[in-house]
Amino acid sequence: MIEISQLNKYYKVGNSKMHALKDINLTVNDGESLAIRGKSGAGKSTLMHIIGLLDNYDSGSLKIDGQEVKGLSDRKLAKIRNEKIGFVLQDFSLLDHKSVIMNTMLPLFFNNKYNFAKMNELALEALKCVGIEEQADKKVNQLSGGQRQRVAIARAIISNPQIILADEPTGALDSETSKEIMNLLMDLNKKNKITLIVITHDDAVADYCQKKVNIKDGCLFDI
Amino acid sequence: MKTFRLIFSRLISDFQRNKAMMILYFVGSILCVLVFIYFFNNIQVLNREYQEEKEQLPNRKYVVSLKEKQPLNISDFDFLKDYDIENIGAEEDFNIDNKQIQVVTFSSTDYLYDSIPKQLRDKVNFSLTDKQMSENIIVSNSEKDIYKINNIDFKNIHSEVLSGIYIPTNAFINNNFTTQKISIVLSKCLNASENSSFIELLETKLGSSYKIDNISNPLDHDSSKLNEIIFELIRLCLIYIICFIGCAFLFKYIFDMNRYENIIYSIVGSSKIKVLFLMILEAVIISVISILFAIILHISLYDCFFSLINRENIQYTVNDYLIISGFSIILSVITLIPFFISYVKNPILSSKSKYK
Repeated sequence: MIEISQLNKYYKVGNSKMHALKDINLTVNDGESLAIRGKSGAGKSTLMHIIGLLDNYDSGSLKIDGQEVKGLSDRKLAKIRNEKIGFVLQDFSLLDHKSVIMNTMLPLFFNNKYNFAKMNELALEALKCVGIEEQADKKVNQLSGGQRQRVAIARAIISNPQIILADEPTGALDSETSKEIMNLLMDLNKKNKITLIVITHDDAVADYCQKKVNIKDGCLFDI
Repeated sequence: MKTFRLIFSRLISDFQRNKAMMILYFVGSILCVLVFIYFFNNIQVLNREYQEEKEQLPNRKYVVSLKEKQPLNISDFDFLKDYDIENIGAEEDFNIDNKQIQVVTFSSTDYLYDSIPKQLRDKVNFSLTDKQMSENIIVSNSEKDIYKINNIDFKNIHSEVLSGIYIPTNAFINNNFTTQKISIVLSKCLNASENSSFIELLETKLGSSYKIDNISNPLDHDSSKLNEIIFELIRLCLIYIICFIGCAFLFKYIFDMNRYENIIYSIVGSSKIKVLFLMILEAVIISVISILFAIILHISLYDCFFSLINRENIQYTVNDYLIISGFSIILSVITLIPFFISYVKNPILSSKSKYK
């Protein structure tokens, strides 16, 4: 469960401060799918980065599974990111020069639970889940956009996360591929009960999710 | 083990991404290590040569020139008791066998040893008794039994390696000989400020008893050998520094290639400390590979090449290679410091867009 209460975030712009997120209140229950919609510069990516523990906030509260994250060490935040959160980003954020399977198993290198053989096994399972296991040995730069995003999703789910954060997951894809990717994400949300938060400016993408909120000028509005 | 797999996978993909740069890096770093191996022992040889050359007699000798000939009084030199004095004496020309020959006086046999070439010192043994040190004796390479100086007989003690004529300072004083040149030789060189203070002291203390014209400054002594050694030291250091900087730039290029990858590691759940650890491990592994190649090359080609360019016959021990390896690894890690600072300071996501 994700609980955000009166969260504020400021950015320093020259000599002044920009109020990027204003008194954000949001609760996302386990297994829910939520779309955060808004125009460019509204603050949706900022909010996602804070939820994903990639950025900090200035006031308020963020709890993940009841644990307040403010004040946690970098090591603890990294552990939560590694075990509980999966990222699917617009630019895929993959290592182009490495193989598909190496990219997929990357989070497990920073998790002490698994040896390499087990990592390999889990990576192949994740790739099978997203329908791309036959590309395991190919380099990422040999794949299409849709295939790369599938690899990114496989990497996001390999640690059995509770949350997937998808920032414009279809932004770099054509409409047909976008539908495939969104169906895949929704499948994971429903079957695996993974909480899914999708950042998008596209209404068609937002319509896939159970809940939708709008963000404008750093403020959150229910739809 | 997983960590090593990750590192080796990084190295392999670095190589695949830019073969030319990686080959250039390895060739450069092997050369750098070879230069350091040369530098390491040759710098010690140069340093030893420098110390030995610095301790040569001309660099420790002060000649007090007097305005007129004066007799010596050994008590005039009591103020030097706090200094490590090798010799107090005179240098004067005397008419010996109808020739003007310079006679040098010695107050210790150490000075006699110092006056002969280094390689011949083991072949002699100046064992003069205290009594002999006050007697009318001469030490020279002549076969003559007796020398007459100012009509006074001096018994000759033959030493074939000595060039010049030496008599004990006490004999010089006891016979009321006069001189215009007093020489004071210290056992060790003084540094620049100590040297100035010592010359001032000589001027002050001896000035009351002797009419001093000039006191020579050993620092003015033109030692071309010393200059040659200093030049060689600087040249060697410069060669190493240039080599290292070149290598460091190549090293930086390799790590620049991996900045984006380090950021992705953070996104998928690696702590910053872990990423820094991976960077250090990668630097160490790359360095070790270069060092191993360099050492193998050095050992294989030592007899036919490296031994010929050394300043002297240097035997490299396992310890030497280990110390060189250790230094090289430490220097590689130090090169990463700007990366560490940049990685720790910058937020993950702003760095991501910068380095993609």
